[in-house]
Amino acid sequence: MMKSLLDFFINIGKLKEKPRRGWLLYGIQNPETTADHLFRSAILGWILNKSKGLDEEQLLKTLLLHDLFEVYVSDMTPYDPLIPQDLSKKSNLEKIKEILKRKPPFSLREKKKIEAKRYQEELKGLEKLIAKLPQELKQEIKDLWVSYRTKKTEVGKFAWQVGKLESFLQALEYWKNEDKIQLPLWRKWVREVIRDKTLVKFRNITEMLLCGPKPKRKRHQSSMDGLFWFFKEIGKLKFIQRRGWVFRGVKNAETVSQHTFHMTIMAWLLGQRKGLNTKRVIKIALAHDLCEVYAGDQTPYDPILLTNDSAVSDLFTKPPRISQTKRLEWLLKKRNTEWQAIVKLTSHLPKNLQEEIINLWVDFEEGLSKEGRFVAQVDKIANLVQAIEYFKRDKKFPIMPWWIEIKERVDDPLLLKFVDELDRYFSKEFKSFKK
Amino acid sequence: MPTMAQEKKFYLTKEGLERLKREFEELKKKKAQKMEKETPMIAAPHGVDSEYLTFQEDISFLESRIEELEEILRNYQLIKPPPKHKQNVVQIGATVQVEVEGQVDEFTIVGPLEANPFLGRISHESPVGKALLNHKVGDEVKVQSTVTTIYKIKKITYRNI
Repeated sequence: MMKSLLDFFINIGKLKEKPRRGWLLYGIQNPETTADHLFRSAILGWILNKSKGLDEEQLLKTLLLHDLFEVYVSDMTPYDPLIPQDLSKKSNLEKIKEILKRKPPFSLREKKKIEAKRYQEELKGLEKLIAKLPQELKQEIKDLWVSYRTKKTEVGKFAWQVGKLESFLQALEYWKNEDKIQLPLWRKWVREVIRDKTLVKFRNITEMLLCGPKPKRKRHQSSMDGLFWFFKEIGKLKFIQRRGWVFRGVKNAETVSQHTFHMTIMAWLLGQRKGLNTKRVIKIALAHDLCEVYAGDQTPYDPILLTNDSAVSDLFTKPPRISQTKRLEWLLKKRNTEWQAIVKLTSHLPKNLQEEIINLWVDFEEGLSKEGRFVAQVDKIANLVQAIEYFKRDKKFPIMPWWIEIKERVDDPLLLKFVDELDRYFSKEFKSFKK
Repeated sequence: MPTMAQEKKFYLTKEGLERLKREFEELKKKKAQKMEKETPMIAAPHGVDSEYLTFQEDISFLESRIEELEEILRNYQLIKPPPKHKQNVVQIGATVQVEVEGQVDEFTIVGPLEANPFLGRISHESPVGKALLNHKVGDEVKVQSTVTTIYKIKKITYRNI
C-alpha cells in the first residue's frame, strides 16, 4: 500500500518539471509547468464555486488530478497534427509561428476524430499512472477524471471549464508580459469553451482588466475585481523558486506552487487513508504557502544565515541547531510577516472567504485541528521526497539534515509508516552511491 | 462508542490543558452565537449563497474541533515530573540536552498535541522522542534508518511544566 502511494507521488512529482507544451510552441522561455497549472486551477475552482455550491471536495480533487495523465502523455494542443516534431530546428519554429496565427483548420469530423483519439491516449496515460494504487482509490481517481473529461456531471463540466479558464488567464498574462500570444484566437476560443455564468463573468473581468483599454472614468469595482486580483497575485507563486533548494545550488528548483500541488495530493491521499476530513486537509494544503506571494519563502536556516559568516554550503550539511531564544525570535518574526502577507493577499476577497483562508493558514501554522497537524507533517515529508529526488540527480546534495529532522518532527503513526517506505526507497539509492 | 481500552491517552502539560479547556469553552460559546445570530438566509430556492456555504463550513469545523476537544479532555493525562530519585531518566516532560552530529541541542519531550519541533518540543511518539525515553545521562541513543543518527544525552532536567 505505502509503496504504491510512494511510487505514485514520485511519478506525479515529474509534473513539476513538465513545461506546458502550448507555451513552448509560442516561444515562451521557462513557462509554467503542468503542476503550476493544476495548483491555480484548484484554487480558481474552489473560490469561484462559492457562488455555485457544487460538491467542494469532488471539485477540488477533480481539478488537482485533471492533467495527471501528462506524466506519461505529452500535453496536447489543438494544433498537434500540424506541428513538426523537431522543435530544435529554426525552420520548424518559424513554421509553428505561422501555424499558430490561425485557428486549427480542421473540419468538425476531423476534430471529433482527433478528440476521440486524444481521449483514449489520456485515459491510457492515467490508467498507467494509477495502475498500482489500491482498487478503491484507483476507481475514485478514474471516475473523477472521466466525469471531468466527458463533462457528464455538473462537477465535471464546471471543472473542465475552470481548467480552460486558468489556461486563458495564464495566456493573457503571457500576452501582457511577452506579447507572444495570439490574443484574438484565444478570446474566440474561450468564448466557445466557457459557458458557465460565473465563469463567463470572471472571463469578462479578466479580459477587461488585462487587455481592455484604460477606463476614462473611475469604474465601480465588483467583487469579481477582487477575485481577479487574488488569482493574479497567487499566479506569482508559479515563478517563486523555493529558497531552501536555491541555497543548496539546485538548478530549476521547484516553485512554491509546484510544491503546493505535490504536497496537496500527498495530503489528500494519506489523509483520506487516515480517515481525516479530506476536504479540510486539501484546503489547508492549498492555503498553507499562499502568504509567500509577499512574505517570500523563509527557511529555518534564516536565523543562522543572518548571523553566521561561514560558507553557506557548509551550513546545509547539518540541521539548523540554534538556541531556543533565537528560534522563538525568528518564528515570531516569520509569523508576523506571513500574517501581514496573508491578510494583504486576501484583502480584496469577500470577508467570509478571507476569514476561511486565514483560518486554514492559522490551522496549518498552529496545528489547531488534527487535519492542521497532519498537513504540517505531510509538508515535511513532501520536502524529504523532493530532497531525495535532488539527491538522486546530484550525490553532493546534502540530504542528511532532511532525514535527521524528519525523525524529530513526524509522529503520526500512518505517516511514520510512509517514512519507513521512503527509507527503503532511499536506501537503494544510498547503497548504490556508497559503492 | 469506543471502549475505555480503545481510547487514546493524550499527554498534556498543565499549561496545555488550561489552554485546551479555555479553547473548548470559547468554541462552545462561539458555536452558540453563530447558531443564534448568524444563520444567514438562503436568498432564492435555486441560488446558493456563498455566505451560507462558508458559515456551514465554519459550523462543521467548530463541531469537529469541539468533538476532538471533548475526547481529549475526557482522556488526558497530566504530565508531571517523576519523583526526585527517578529524575535521572528521560520521561515525558523531561528537557534533554543532547549532542548530535557534533552540535548541541535541547528537546523537551511532550505529547503530540503540544509538539513544536522547531521550538524544541518534540513528541514522545516521534522516532527521536520514543528513542530517548528511559535513557540516562551518558547514554548514546541510536535512531536507526538508512541514515543512523546518534544522540548523546548530556543533561536531563525537569522544569515546572
